[in-house]
Amino acid sequence: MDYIPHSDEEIQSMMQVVGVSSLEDLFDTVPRCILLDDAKAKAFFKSSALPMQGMAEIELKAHMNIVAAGNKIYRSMFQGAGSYWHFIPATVDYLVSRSEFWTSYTPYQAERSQGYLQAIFEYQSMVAELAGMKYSNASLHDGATALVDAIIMAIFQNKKRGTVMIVGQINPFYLTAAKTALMPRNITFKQVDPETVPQAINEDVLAVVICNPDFFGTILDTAAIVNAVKAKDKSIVAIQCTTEALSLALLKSPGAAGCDIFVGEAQSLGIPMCFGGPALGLIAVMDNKLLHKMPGRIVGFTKETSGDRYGFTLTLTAREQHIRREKALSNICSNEALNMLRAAIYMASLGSTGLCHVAEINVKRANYLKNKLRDVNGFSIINKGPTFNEFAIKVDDDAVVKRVIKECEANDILGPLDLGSLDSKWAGIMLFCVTEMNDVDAINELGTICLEASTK
Amino acid sequence: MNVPSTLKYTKTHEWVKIEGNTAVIGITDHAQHELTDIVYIDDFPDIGSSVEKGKIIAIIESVKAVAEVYAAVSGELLAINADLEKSPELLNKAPYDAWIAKVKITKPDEINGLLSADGYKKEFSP
Repeated sequence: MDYIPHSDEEIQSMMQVVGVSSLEDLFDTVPRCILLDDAKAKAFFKSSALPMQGMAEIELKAHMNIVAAGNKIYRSMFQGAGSYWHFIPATVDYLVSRSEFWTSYTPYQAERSQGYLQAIFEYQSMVAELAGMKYSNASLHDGATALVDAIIMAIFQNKKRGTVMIVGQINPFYLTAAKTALMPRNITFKQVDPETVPQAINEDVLAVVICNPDFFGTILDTAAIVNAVKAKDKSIVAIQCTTEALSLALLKSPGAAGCDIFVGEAQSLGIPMCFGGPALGLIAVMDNKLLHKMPGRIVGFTKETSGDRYGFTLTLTAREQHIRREKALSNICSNEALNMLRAAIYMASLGSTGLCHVAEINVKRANYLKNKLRDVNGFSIINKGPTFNEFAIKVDDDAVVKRVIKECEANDILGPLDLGSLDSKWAGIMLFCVTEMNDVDAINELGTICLEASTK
Repeated sequence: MNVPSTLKYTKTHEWVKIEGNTAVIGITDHAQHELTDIVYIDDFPDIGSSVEKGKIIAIIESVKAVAEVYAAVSGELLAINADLEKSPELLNKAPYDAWIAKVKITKPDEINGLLSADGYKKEFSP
């Protein structure tokens, strides 16, 4: 199909209809200061690594190598906080690169897309098993937007209420995403500790979001929290939000713990950190009523109307905009099919035994570092319970945090996250993450850096 | 198109059966035919709550569309047909048996505003 742009005459006549005299007038709501005029554009290209004009392939490759050399490559990384450094088996890159998968788009046409639909169906089955839930969709964009959609589902269940209770430390970026997306709905967010859940419940609470493991890495007893909530009020929707999907391999599943909805981030399952995205949003639900409110695509397994063959199909799409128009329950019109496929191949490659094994290595290595740092003078662990692959340490003197991070940088190690850089109330707290990628030597090296930083 | 003469109708394709001071509400044969296979019904107000003529009392999903069911008269919601949650296809099979909601009429004058079978049929004639 040809691309035919509007002619000048057409543009003029359209502007006449809407009553503007120039294209600049049409876009005058865009602040002048951010517009890129010629002079600004030239300055921008000059200051950036982008070439001013086209290059031959050989020049471009040389140029890209120079640009890539500007990246800092760490020997070891001890930061998680929502994006995790995990090993990705070669099967993942190899299989997703097959042209049948690589070139596919949303499989609306079931008769032409059986392979991809089956891959999605397998993914849904594995996510449902991992979450201990009955139904999963074909993925959402990321963990934060998945949480937003779970809260919207809860709002439909409890239309007259306006408070969302958050148990455990929530990832601050998730909270920002939720507050931004739900701003027009006037929702109040109330953060509470697990112990104070029963007292904090009132008749305005529409949902409880249990962050497990929470932002500080603490493993919460989801089942006890859900029981406390449901004992007070059965209609409150219990949501577990998990930013480290690998933890599901070891911990009691949110379904078994009694949650109604599970949401989370699955970047850990075969997806590179990619400067923070794109990632993969998980959502799964327990009951049939919530299934009808769940956003996104769902693939089902069905029998042909005529004949005996079975096949895969998109199903229950009535919630989406192409059917529901302005009555759509969600604005989600897309998913993360390629990353979904990566997660499916990752989970299938490891199997349940392999997933548990990787998760165990994470716990063991993180505990190894935690025990090392426990003994460092002035370091105190602030997690009140067991932890998965992250834990938080508080020091009295914030200068120690800065020294640890600086010394790590100097040794090509990405040190812990300085939580004070996110919120001043967390000044002096470091968030450490240890995965199967951090070997014992690297952990020992970090331990030594921390010890030295504490005594200087 | 089946339009029983014993019932009253709305322009939005609901049928109403007046039983004393109770209005039984469902969707017409024409509505179910246009929607095609109905797979889900949901979003009922709470039993005992007051409903207002013209406001949504249920949402029906079919394989190709989503439609709202409106209260044909104002009143108090007495009952919803729980069978439909398990078997929404009853709305296709027997639209005039598969009632959706029962409303205790609080504004009897509104009945006069409903269409007769002939009046409803006329809505479709050119």
